[in-house]
Amino acid sequence: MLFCSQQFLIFFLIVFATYWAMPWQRGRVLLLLAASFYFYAKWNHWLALLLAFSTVVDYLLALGMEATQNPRVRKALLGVSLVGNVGLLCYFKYVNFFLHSLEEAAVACGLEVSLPVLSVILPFGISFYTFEAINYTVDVYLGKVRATRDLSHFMLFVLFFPHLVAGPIVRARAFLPLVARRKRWSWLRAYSGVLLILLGIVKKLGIGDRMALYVDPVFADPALFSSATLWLASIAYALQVYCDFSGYSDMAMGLAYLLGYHLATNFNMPFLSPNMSELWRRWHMSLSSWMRDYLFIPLGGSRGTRLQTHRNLLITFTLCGLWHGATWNCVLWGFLNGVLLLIHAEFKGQCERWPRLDACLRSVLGTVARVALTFACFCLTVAIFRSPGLAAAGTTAWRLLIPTEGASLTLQAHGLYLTFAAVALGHVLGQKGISRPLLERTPAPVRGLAFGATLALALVLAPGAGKAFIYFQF
Amino acid sequence: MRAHLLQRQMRSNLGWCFLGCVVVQCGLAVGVDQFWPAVRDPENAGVVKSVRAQSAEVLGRPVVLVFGSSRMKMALRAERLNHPEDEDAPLVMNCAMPQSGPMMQEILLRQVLAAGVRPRLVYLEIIPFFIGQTNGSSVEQRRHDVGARLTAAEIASVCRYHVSNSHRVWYSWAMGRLVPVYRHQLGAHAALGIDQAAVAPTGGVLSVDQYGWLRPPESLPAETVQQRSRDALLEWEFSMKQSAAALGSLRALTDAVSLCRARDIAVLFIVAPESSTMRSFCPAATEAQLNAVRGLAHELGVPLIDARTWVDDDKFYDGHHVFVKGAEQYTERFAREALAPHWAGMRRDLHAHACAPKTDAE
Repeated sequence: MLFCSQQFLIFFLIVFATYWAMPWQRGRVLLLLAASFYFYAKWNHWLALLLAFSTVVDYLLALGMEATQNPRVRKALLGVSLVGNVGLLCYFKYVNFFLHSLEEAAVACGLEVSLPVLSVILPFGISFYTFEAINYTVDVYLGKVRATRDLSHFMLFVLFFPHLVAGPIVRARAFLPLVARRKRWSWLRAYSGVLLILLGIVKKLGIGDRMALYVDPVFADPALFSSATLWLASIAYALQVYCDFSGYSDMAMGLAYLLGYHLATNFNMPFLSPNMSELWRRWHMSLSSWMRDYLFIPLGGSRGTRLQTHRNLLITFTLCGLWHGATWNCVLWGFLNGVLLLIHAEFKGQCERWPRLDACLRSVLGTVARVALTFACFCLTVAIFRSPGLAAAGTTAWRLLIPTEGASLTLQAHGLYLTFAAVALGHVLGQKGISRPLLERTPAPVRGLAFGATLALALVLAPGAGKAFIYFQF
Repeated sequence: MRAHLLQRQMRSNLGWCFLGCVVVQCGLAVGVDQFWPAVRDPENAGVVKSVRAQSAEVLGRPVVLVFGSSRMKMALRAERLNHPEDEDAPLVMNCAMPQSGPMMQEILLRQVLAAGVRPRLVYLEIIPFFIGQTNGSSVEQRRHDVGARLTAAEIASVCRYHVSNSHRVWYSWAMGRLVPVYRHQLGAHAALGIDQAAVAPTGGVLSVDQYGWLRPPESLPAETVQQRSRDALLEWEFSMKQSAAALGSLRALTDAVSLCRARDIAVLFIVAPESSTMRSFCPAATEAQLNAVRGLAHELGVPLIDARTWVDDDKFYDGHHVFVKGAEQYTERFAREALAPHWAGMRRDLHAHACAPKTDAE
């Protein structure tokens, strides 16, 4: 059930109406739980059962950890939880990737090996709810959060349908208190929720899906296209991923608002970042912070030597790449991002020794140049990510860096330029904090008409066939 | 107190947003219904635009329009009937539309006339089983979800032809107007120039030329042709067995003829070509359907041309749609047997009318 579908609209309206008509908080939690289970089971009921089962196991393990003071038992229980969650993730998402890679490695070594391909369905959102479950058990182990005794509360934390399949990755310590709190209807929250849903629809249908029309033909065979076309397609893909995923996050936040919940912000104008480090603080923030807290810091973070810090960063980002997809392109993408972060860290260190260079880079022109360079680096990495296979990624990178002749876009490019301008304007307005005051100063009837017109425009711009959200596959 | 005021303001904001959506949708619904035919019905609007453009290019020349279904759209290569070097030659346009029967032909004819095109001669295609009826409706009325493509005024007119299921047409119209951005999205894309290819495709299979010919395939493997012929028979079997004529279809033909007569336009009925397998599938019902048309043609005084056998069996790719060679054969016979005799007669009349001494009253 996609958020932008008629089926979901009917589902949500029923849940919304029943939820607020119900006076009992416990009843509301159970209703949301049932709705969330239905939401997932509508796609695949066996995997919904598996998800429910793994959630119950984590709940029991956390209770077990809280019940005992024995560090060994606690560690063992945490180990079981981690192995279980990571094992499920590896089995469903990576088993065929590992088998295929193993086979290729064996063939490269001259061995005759034929490993089986398992028919495994990738459960929607497994990467997201696995990380949520891990953050809960680890936090309980570390004593940062108390294990909840109410199974329904914990299950709702993992299964809550607005964030179930594509995040944002919520933290137990932020979400569980919300579940327990009695909700009161708030027009302010409802209005904010509706605005966020509109913003999400515009991003997803009006921009993200539209960009795919430009991107898909080019990345089907990048070797045919010129460098200029590949750059345009790479920028379009960066916008597609951003609008698709941040659109989904906005809709998730809006839906949660309408039900009285608050989900963490996931994106904050990432394309205005002046460096890669900042970009990763603004892009998919719930994942970045998870990676920092549960991978980078446990690995040692930046506490050790410079080399150790760099190693930790590279490991974290390479695994972050693997999290995004079971392909070598994704691994390479993650690794390259790690490398870019290292380069930035080193360059930043050098700038401290050259105050004039630092001042120059911090000027308006310098900032614009840094933003442009950061965006170009990001586009280059996502082009590698999007290419069909490692060989194609090499071709793409080569053609992006070395001017080459080739075919142009299959569609007229004026729509693409308009979209670039619209996203840039949206970023600048958002960054400067102009959009909200502007909205508030506009007379209510004009705002209403603008709302209706924007929704209509997004629906008109949407390509004919609805596309699934990109991050569903992660 | 402040919180209470804020809540009130937000409630009002939400109300305005809801109202804004309703107003915009209503505005779009009115726009689509009354002012943007290209959004509402891109196919028909495209034909009207093309006919207007071509007739403006050869200003002063008489115009001949041929209406029909996908059979005619692929069979009549109107380009071959146009002779720009001959100043007396008419402009011939293929105005056929896939899935069109008498009802849709009548609507398109009205739209073309409303656009200011004044043809001298009009051909209306007859497919016998499109006339056959079941439960009071013809195949065209049962299959066509036309409501959203028409204006409210056109719907009122069309409903006269829908003897038993006019509510379906209204329902389709209402759904189209209720959420116009959803129903007319593709039309809006075409009208706004969204998703246009960087290089416009030309001359390929299933591309329409400037005279309205939809280019069919050159050839297909024999097995594919056999399979498609079987599929076509299966698809139309039920309709081909209905011997009673649909009153709505006959009424649409009558209205189209009256419309032409009122504007001094000559009309001809022409029965569409089909393979011998199709012709012999259910001959009794086909004959009954044709008899109904013959009776109507006789009653209205409209010539009826039977072109069912004009194309050889091996030039159909599914028993009723032709290959390119079939189109050439059909067009050649159309020129010789349908256009030339009638056009020659009309030209004589026109010349006689032009040369006749004018009276004071004139």
